Amino acid sequence: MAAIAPALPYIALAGSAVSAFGQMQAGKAQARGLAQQAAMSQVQARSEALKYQQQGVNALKNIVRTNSTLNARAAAGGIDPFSGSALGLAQFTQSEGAKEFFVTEDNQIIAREGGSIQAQLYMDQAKQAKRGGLFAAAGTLLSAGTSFSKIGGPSTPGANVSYAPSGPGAAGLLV
Amino acid sequence: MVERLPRYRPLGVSLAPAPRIDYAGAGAAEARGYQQMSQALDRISAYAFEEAGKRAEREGAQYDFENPITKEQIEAAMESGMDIDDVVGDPNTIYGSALRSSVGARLRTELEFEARKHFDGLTAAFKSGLPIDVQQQQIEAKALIAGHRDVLGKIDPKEANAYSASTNALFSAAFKTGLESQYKRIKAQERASIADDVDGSGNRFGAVLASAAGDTDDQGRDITLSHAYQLRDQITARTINVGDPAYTESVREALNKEISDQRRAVLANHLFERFDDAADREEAIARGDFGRYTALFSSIAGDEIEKDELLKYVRDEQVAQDKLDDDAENESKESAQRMYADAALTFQSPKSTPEQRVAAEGILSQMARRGEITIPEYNTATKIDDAEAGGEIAVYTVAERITSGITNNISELNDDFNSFNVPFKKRVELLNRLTTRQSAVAKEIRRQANTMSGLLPDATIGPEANIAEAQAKEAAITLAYEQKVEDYENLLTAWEQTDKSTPRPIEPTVRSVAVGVIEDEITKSFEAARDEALEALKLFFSERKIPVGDIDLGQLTKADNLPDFLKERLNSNQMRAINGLIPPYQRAQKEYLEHLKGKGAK
Repeated sequence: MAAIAPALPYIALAGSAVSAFGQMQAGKAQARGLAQQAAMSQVQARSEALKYQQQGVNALKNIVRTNSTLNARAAAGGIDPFSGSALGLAQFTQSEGAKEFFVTEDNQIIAREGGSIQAQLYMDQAKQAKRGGLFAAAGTLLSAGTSFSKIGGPSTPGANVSYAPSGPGAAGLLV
Repeated sequence: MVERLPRYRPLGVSLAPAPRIDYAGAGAAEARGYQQMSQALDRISAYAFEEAGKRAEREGAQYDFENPITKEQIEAAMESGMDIDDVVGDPNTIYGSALRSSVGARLRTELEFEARKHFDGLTAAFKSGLPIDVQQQQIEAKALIAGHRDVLGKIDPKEANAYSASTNALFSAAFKTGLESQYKRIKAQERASIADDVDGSGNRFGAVLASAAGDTDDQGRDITLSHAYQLRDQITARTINVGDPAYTESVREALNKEISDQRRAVLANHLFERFDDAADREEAIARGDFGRYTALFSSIAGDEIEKDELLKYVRDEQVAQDKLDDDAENESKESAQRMYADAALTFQSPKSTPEQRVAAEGILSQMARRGEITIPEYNTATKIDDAEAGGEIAVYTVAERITSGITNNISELNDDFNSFNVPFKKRVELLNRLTTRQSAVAKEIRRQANTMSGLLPDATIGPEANIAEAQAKEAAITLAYEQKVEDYENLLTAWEQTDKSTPRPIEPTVRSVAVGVIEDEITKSFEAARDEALEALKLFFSERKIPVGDIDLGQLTKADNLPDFLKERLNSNQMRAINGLIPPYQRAQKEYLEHLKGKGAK
């Protein structure tokens, strides 16, 4: 212990430097995780949007299927499918189907935008985590530097020493 | 037909939901790992800093122990405008703080000791009654405390405040003693002045009363007596300043007695001037016949006791005059006897020259003619005893040599017997005298040695250390005494060969020799203290194998004055250490020189 005693302040300083590096890395790791989480949020949002796109397609299909049945049944019954009540029913089908289709389109937008917002939030957190790591590291280094300088030690040899011979031929007479 | 045609039937395939992967949690977990590592390192760093701090604290205190920084160094640094941090460390560091704390505590103790010594000396001086200006001492003490406080304040304000508080308390006690002493001295001076007046009042009263011409005041009293009483009241009034009613009363009584005594003396003198016969004087008292002093006498006319005292005084005066006459006669006789003895001794001394014998014989014959000595006395004085060579003169001479210590052993006594041809029947007597003298000298030496060693003069037992010290001193005094006696013998022999116009050498005494021995010991102790301090300075260099060449370290006043070739080999700590070694030597040298000066050296 006695042998390393003089090196203790330097060991402490080195430890603090490594610790600061660790704090910086911790911030970076957290930031990296959050950035990846942001990307994942966008993927999930796109996935949701695709589901809504599929629902829109289904709604269009439903319109075509309903109108085809309507035309066929009307024709089979001897009714003109493009006039009168048959035409009214076909128009009603298109109207209701279009409503549902537009809703699915809105849902796509909502899903995409929601994902973007969530991703943005994650990215903000990532930046904050990185910055936090840097500040923590700087604080550790500053604290270590302060502690190091606070230890102190003997001052350096003083100056202002003078020697003046007391007279001609005087060798080493002090004044 | 149409209804029977096959149609595609949807299987209901839909998009799988995106998997929920917790990247943030993974990042947080990684960060926790780093943070744990950082925390562990922080603990190591904190421990290392704590240990380093403790070490710095120890080193700071150790440094002060090994290189004590003196008050003079700090004062010199302050005067030269140096940053005090360079001398006693930066207070913002653990090392500097510990160093300052150590220096402050030590310096405070030293300065308190110095101040205490000063104030103790001051108190002793105050108590001794010396006329010391208390106010001036107060100013000087305040300056001393402020100076020390300033020095300490540069190092540790807490120690400075503590020093100031303790030394001010010390000085307050000394100051109180000083004020008391001053007050006592003023009162004593007043008393002394009054005592002088009382002592001198006899003559003044005597002069006043003797000037009486028979005048009286309104109440029929002698006017000079009234003047004497006024004078008494003036002196008595001054005693009020002393603030002691009993003293006032005693002064008044003393002055009254003085007036009575002087009145008695004036009346008695008048009687002695007028009457030669004692009976006439007593009759005059009975009649109240005092001429121009009759008014003065009337002040005691009705006082029988005082009249008896006057009568007794007159009678005592007569007796005193008779005694004076007798004393004068006796003195004349004694003078004649001394002259007879001196002349007889000169006449009979074998060392006297023929001229001296003729002169002595002339004196003796004149005394015989004047009847101051008888004829048989003249014959005795002028007859040399030829029955035995040497005779009484030889016995006297040898006895004198024994008494003065010139002859102080049997061998020397035998030599004296032969040299002075002492009669055999007197030799035993002289031997006894020598033995008695030797015992007396030995006893006196032992008494002196015992006294100087903290023992009672005649003690034979006591603490072992004191007995050993006394024995050593006894030996030293004996040796010194023998040397002094030998010196005295040589001086006496030389003096006797001169015309004796210079004073006869004085024989040494045991006491004077003992005092000389002790003074020499004290001088040696001062020399030793000085040499020890110088040796410490030399040792500093020799231990570090630093040759100082022909440098006279005794002349060194501060380390900065060392030659460059030496300074180059010294670091700042060593320079401070040298500065710490110089003041003890300078103090010891100063004390040694002051001691020599006190002994009369130039």
